[in-house]
This record gives sequence, C-alpha cells and structure tokens, in this order.
Amino acid sequence: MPLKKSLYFALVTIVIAALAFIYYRYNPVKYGLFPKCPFYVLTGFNCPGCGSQRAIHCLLNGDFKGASGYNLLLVVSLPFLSVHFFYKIKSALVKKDLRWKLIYHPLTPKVVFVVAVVFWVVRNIPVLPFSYLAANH
Amino acid sequence: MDLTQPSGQMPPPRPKNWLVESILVTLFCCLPFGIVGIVNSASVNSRYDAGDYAGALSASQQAGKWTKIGFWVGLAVCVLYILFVFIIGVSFLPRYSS
Repeated sequence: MPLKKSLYFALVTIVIAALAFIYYRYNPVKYGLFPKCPFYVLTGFNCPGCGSQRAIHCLLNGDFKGASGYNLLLVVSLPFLSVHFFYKIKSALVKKDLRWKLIYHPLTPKVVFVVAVVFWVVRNIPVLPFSYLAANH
Repeated sequence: MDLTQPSGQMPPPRPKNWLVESILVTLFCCLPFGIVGIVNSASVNSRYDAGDYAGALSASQQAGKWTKIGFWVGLAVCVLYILFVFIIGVSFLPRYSS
C-alpha cells in the first residue's frame, strides 16, 4: 500500500475511533454541543437522518430498542452497510476490487430510494403508529 | 477512462455507483443531497446494464458530486454549530473577580 493511502486510512480510523468514543461516552440528549439537524431546525420536520446521533449513542451502549426508537432506518441499514465495508476491507487486504453484487443490482438503488422517501414522509405523520418512527418522541 | 474505444471490445469496468456513500450522507448529514446521490446511483446501474457506458460514467460522476457536496456541507454545518455553541458558551461563562 502506498504511503499516502495508508496515511489516509490511519487518519480515517483515528477519526472514527474518536467519534465512536465521544458518542459512546456522551448522550446527545444531555449535551448541547452535538449539532442539531439543519432541516429540522429550519422546517420543524424530521429528515431521514434525524435521531442518528442519539441512535448511535444507544447502539454503542447496546440499547437496540432505544436506537430503533430514534432512527429505525439507521438500525435497519446497519447490516447492509457492514457487509459493504467487509467487502471494502477485504479488497484492500487482497488488493483486488471486490464488490458486493447486491449494491450493483439494478433494483437496489430504487428500493433504497423508495424506502428512504417513504420513511421521510411517514415519520412526519403525527399519528400513532407512524409517530413511533419520529426522532423526538 | 477511455470512452472513445470502438464497440465490440471488452466493456469498460462498471463505474462506482456511490450507493452506500449516498445512504451514509442521507443518514448523517440531514440534507436532501444524499437522496440525489441515491437517484444517480440508480441510473449508474440501469445505464450500465443497458450498455450506455458513457451515461453510466456520467451518472457515477453526478452521484459522487452530490454525495461529496452533502458530506462537506454537512461537515461545515457541524463545525459552524460547534463553534457557535462554543462562542455562546464562552460569552456566558460566569466571570469571577479576584
């Protein structure tokens, strides 16, 4: 691996580790230093990513139920993201461009698009059971 | 990448579709740019399968562009927010006179 690329990987790893420690240790509900979602601040509506910071704090502390309450989309997408990054790390190790076929299936991005947009709309309907998907309950 | 090659040769490699990166931007940057990225990754896959390699490549570049815009704008908003909170916090710190 060239020096520049390994420096880049080292930097990314350090940043992710530092962020993981911060989100493990500090609950975004209790500390004002965590950024608020600009879309929520401007419109008062949840975006598809609202609640991610609180959900990550829950996940790092092993609270899957709490995380699903803040952002179900994040929790559902984690297994897919893990498989993708497993392929990424493996291709870096064997020095081949391995790709997960599902990511390149013609239907996959369309399904992801529909799921993200439906999630975005539905979590803003202030009626149970839809409001369970909202970030601030 | 060479797009001027005549047809009948090996197809060029499938361009990166940026799907995972777009999902990450959608989940963590709170901005509609991630959704634009997802739409473009759909065209990367469908255009490549239809044999439109140049179109797939340009959709890939579009997807990459919007994902990167989403990432950097999201990061800038975070940094500005933290600076803002920090400045307010400093200006409201109790002052102790000796």
